[in-house]
Amino acid sequence: MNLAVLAKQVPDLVEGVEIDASGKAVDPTSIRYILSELDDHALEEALLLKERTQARVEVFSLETSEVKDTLFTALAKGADRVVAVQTGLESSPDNHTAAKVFASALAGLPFDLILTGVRAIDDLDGSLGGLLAGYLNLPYVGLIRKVELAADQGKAIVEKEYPGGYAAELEVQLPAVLGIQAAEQPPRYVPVSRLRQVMKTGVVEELLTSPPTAQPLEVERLFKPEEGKGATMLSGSPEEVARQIANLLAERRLLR
Amino acid sequence: MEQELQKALQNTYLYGNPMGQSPRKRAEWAKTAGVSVPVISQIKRPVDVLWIVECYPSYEPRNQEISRKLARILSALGVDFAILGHEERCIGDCEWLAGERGLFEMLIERNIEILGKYRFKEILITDPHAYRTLLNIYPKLGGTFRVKHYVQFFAERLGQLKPLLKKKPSAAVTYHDSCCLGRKTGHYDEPRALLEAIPGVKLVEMIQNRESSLCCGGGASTIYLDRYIQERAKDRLADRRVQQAAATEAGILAVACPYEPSRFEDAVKITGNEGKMIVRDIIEMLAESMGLE
Amino acid sequence: MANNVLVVAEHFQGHVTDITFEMLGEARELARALGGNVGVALLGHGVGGLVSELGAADTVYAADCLELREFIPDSYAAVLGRAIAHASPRVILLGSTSVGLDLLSLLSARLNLPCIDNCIAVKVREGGLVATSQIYGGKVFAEVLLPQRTTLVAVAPGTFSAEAGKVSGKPQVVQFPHVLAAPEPRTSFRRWIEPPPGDVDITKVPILVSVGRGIQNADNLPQAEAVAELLGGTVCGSRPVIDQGWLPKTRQVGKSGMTVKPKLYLALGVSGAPEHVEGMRGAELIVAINTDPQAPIFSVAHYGVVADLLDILPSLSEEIKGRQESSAA
Repeated sequence: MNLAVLAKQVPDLVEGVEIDASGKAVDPTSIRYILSELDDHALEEALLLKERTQARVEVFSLETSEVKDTLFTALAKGADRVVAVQTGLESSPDNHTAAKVFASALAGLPFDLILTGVRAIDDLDGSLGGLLAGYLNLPYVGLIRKVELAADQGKAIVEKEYPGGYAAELEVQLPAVLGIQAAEQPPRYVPVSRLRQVMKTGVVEELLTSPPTAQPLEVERLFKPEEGKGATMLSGSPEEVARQIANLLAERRLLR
Repeated sequence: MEQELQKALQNTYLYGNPMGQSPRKRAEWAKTAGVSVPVISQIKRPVDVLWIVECYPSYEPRNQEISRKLARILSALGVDFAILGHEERCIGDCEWLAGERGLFEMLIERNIEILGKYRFKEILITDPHAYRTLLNIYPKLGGTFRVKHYVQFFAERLGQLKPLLKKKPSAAVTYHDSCCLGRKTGHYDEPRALLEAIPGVKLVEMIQNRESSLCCGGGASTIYLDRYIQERAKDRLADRRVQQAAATEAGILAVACPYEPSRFEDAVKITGNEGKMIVRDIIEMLAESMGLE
Repeated sequence: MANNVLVVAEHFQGHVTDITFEMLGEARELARALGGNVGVALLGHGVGGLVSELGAADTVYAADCLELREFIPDSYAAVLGRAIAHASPRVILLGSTSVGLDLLSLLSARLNLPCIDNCIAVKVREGGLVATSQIYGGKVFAEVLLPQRTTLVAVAPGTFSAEAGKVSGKPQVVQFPHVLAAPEPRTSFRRWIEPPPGDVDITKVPILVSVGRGIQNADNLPQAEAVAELLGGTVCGSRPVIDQGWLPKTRQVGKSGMTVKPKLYLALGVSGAPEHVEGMRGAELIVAINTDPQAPIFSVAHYGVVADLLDILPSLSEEIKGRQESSAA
């Protein structure tokens, strides 16, 4: 069984995101990039499948700054091969462009399952997985929290999340693309010593592709919601704040 | 691996602190210190004392208050000091003791490099765990510095400090010897000397003190394993320790470690001693006595 | 391409879900501004009875057959492709949901139509349509000029009023071909997995004390539980808290959890990312405590405090206890 994981770098919200002078894009100097959280879950789910079925896991990322860290981490966690896909594009592309790049890079390769996070924090134009499935004419299901491989039958059994704690169990013919919402366990830890060792001995392969014609959405402007706009802000010592909150509750007869 | 510990290690790897806070905000606490807290990369000159603030004292609100008071004391004493600000990263005590050798080495290498950029006579630190790591472990990996915990630093300046200590504390005081400051590095007398320099301090000893002091249960990264331990152990060390403190009938439990105030304050509530005992870092007691609040 | 708006309806366990009404209400506004009609695509099995709930639309494009009884992304996308060709809308509205998000991407790729997700507004303006989306966990808004052709727009649940879409009427019903091109669908439905029987149904509790990542660790939960108890309420949480195992899944508020509309929603250390907000924005009184002044929760809360919840909770407990004691006296 051959599994592919598509991983993307996104801005780290811990460091905050600033809008650049043009007002149409995020200021790249203000950003620190990390692996998209749900892509980390996709990798974790793939590694769990590898442990259970001796599948092979290959991780693909579009080449941007700091992507090597992510790919080495994937290797250190147990991926069999990691690939940085060179696009020749200047900045991180939208999902349609990324999906077209991956479609051409992966077409004809014998993958049984392609996993990727169902959404990323900087997504504007849909899910990468769904778009890729559309371009490759493969079956797709998103918001997956569990995958079971029935390799001999060429199928996967998946659980798709719905509101209210419900989930649908579906059967998908392979090859297929899945949009992961959560792995069956939190993404595993890699000891730094192992990571550093892999950085010395591991290999990140490069794959050259030509940039596709991109038609990104025209962003007119980016803006932040005014700080605290909407909420009436309370301030003071904890005792004063507590008093104000209690007053609000009392006014609405919520204090029994 | 227990999730809480994993998160702490991952955060330290990414952000240089186990809480996952932005390194850019590491010196935010200093903005409301009330005195100037110079950042060495900005003042661009050698200093006498490089104060390594460390993670909890930088980011955790209870400890940020203690950091501010320390800044005021240093200022009142006219000490020529500076901090690293956003260049500072975890010293690595937790990572070493959690067995994350690779992460620890990464931190040490980076820290030694940063420290190598600047000139200072000695390092001042309030965290006993980091103190011990800098003292005993860093030299083995090429980083030898003169480092002092604040109890040593102030004990050396007692002559200058004592006349400034004016106000009396509200109750009798008992002192908790933390593992890293006590058993591991032998500083039993300095904290007591500092406390006794405060006018009106009546120091009473707990039944287990100095070398026999009881661990609070938070060092060596076990602070991230609380839930794990709680599910398996009969009672928390911190609770037992607070009960020993209560037995002395002192109203103030004095400590000299950033993990202690929160742990012991929780334990005070859990053991039903609320209103009978407060927890104060020695820095806070000095600042109060100096009128520097 | 006509100036029509097509809504992709969603239903669950025999009922049209709120997101559908939210979209219908908004679709009417939009269609009016565009000078066109509102169509709604209704796929399923035995869903004829739901047509009367869709009075907000002018036309219902129905595909009713056994194969469409449960949502299968590929099958629904194939059938919807035909409805779209038939209706030739300017805008297709879908929910940013378990159903809509899958369809958004599949349809966009298969039909080569532009798409945009996480929308909280779509307005007609000189020069075209402008959609506003929220990204970066709700911290940044993007205003996007939509291309001048049929565009798929996924709407964040809870953004628009469901009431505005609950209009009675008799829309024209158009049955359109539902026979799927491929005889054997590559994806099939096996069964529903119900949520585990829970201790409490938080959708029925009037006072909710919600905890997010700011609670930091399970040790601090008792403080939140104490306040909940004083107020006669229940503790719930955002996804990260449930994922860590600090609260059971039945207490999860947000996208894959519950949608709640309590009298009081006290959000403690909850950042307010869209996935969570969609589950609680309808609460009557939202009070949020967070250390981050830029937390998106403050845009949706009625009252906010920039503080550490661990600092505020003890005082809040004291204050409430004090008042209850004096009123009892």
